[in-house]
Amino acid sequence: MSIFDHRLLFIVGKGGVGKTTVSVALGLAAKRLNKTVLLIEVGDADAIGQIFDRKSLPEHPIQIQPDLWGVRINAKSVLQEYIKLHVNIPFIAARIVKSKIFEYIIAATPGLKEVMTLGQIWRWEQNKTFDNVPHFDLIIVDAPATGHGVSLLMLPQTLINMLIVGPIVEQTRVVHNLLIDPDKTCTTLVTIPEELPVNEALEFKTIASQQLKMPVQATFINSVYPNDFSESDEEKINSNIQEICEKKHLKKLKPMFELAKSTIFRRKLQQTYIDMMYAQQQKHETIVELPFVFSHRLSVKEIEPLVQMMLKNESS
Amino acid sequence: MKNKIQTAKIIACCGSGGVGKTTLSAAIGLYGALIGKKTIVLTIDPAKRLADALGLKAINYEEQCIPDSCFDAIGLKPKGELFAMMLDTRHVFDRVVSTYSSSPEMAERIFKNRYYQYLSTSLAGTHEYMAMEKLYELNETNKYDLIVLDTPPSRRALDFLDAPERLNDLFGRHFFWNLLKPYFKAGKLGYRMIYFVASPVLRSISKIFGIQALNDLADFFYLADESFIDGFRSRSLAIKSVLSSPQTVFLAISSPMRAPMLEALYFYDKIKENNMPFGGFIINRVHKTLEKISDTDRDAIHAWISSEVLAKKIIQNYQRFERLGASCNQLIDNLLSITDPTMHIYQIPFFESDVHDVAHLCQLHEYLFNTDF
Repeated sequence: MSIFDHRLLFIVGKGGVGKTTVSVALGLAAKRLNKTVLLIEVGDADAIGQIFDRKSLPEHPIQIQPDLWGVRINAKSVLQEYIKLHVNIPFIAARIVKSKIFEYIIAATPGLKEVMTLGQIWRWEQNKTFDNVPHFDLIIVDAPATGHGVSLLMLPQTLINMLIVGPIVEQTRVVHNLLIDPDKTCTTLVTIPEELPVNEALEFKTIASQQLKMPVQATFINSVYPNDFSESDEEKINSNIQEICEKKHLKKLKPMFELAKSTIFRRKLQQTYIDMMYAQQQKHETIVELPFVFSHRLSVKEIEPLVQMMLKNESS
Repeated sequence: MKNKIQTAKIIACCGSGGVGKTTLSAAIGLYGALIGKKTIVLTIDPAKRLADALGLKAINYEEQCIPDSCFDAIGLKPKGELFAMMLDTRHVFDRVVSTYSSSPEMAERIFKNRYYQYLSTSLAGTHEYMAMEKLYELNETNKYDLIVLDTPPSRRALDFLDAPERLNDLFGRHFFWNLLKPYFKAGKLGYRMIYFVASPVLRSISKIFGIQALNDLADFFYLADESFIDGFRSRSLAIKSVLSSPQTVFLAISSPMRAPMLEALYFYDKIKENNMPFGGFIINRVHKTLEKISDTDRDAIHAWISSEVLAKKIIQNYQRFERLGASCNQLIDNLLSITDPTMHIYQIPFFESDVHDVAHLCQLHEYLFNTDF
């Protein structure tokens, strides 16, 4: 099953591996497959906005590009709306929202913020246009870094245990059913070929299948150096460097060759980590390698190679 | 930085996840030990190979001394000693509870409370607070000349500056405490039901959230008595004063990318706002600015190398990194332009391989302290 045939993509991974970049690239790729996409940012960061060179996303979906929408979830305001919806007496609802205990419960109830976040995602998933087709074909959630990504996804169990009854539990059950449906929700893992991120990615895969019951279906290995140099290139470069050291007039060229050499070294190191990811590839897991972007100022233009790679993987 | 580390008692490294805080904390700690300070690095989750290289055992939350054999590789003998300690939030929290509980029975009941179990592991800010708690505890023992703190890798780590206040709110003046305590103190737990039903606000809340959650909360605060809360409160204030002391240095660590840099700036603002001593930015893994490849160089490569294809690859590879270096440089310039011009910005280059042993840590000293041993 293609990753783009799901309804919901949950993008998880360690901080700094490029979750947001991958989320946006997936959105752009899906758009080209004629899908209407909603990109969701969870938390206070405004990384998605930055890529599109705009300010942070608002709390209601807005159109960023044709067929590409974006929104930022603020759990607290979702909860306020929710209270207003569930407490019939407006005056009491207003008092609850303003009360200190409300603030406190938000801060202290396990998973309440998370369930509100997930509940809102679910509502967007359910959104229909006037002719009763889904408003969004694909919803992409840029989840918090793995640790928090897990707590976000773990919440249905935690909360159902804590609360036992009440409307929030009912909502949680519905959301949970959406999350654990592998045809609808695709747990999408992002990592980079380095020691810590790969270890953490492998750990997450175990947690995802055993504890969350949401096995990883797609893994993106981000920031992979291009594999330009062959074995024989490497040999030649090494002997070239030796020659440079011996001959004075070639000295100026040293940095170019040294850089080629270190790129080859780094690429090989990356390969060992990429191999580790493939060695533990699961049955229904697609692994896609995404190219390194040679700029630290990301923009829609800069991540185009990632979009291309995703589309290429799709057609193969 | 050299002077700062000589006078500092506490160095706190802040930054978003994945920027190399743990490695840099280890490098700073190592330097402290080398110049003769008895140093401890309070860390969260070091890379396995780095932990192995330092002879650290993974599941050990005690203070561990780095054996001398680890320094053999660099042929140096530290004048001071180097210790490391891994932080486990639950473990620290349990200790705090034991300390402030009026009796062992009370501590035991708190441990068993479901709400406590959540509070001690998952509540936003708990990790940060416990890191501070441990820091304070170590500082009080006066066992170490220098404590290097590797803060928890999360955006929430930003909260840790406010953590003492947050915990104060939690335990001090919050709703449950003031309103419900008299009822619970009567010892009749049945009262709480009556209470919930009597107030329309509480009634609505308990309907929406389910009564169980509120009961667990209520139980927790019933268990936690006055001395417990007071202990927490005075501790929080003491921590805050240690952090504001001139012997503390905060460092903001980032990689040369936009998002972590914004995070580092956020830290900087927060630290300034709290009147705490800021020591500078460390930008890790910077791709250096490469000299632009000239047409003559390009021709020279083509003329020298027989393979046209290989020459092209080498030039293309160089140009890519040229671009990457330029983007790093631009980001750092931006940082300079928005902070104070006297701001210290330490740049650590991107190394060919991962930093995972003592020799590699020493390499970092050159960039941080302008010396290598």
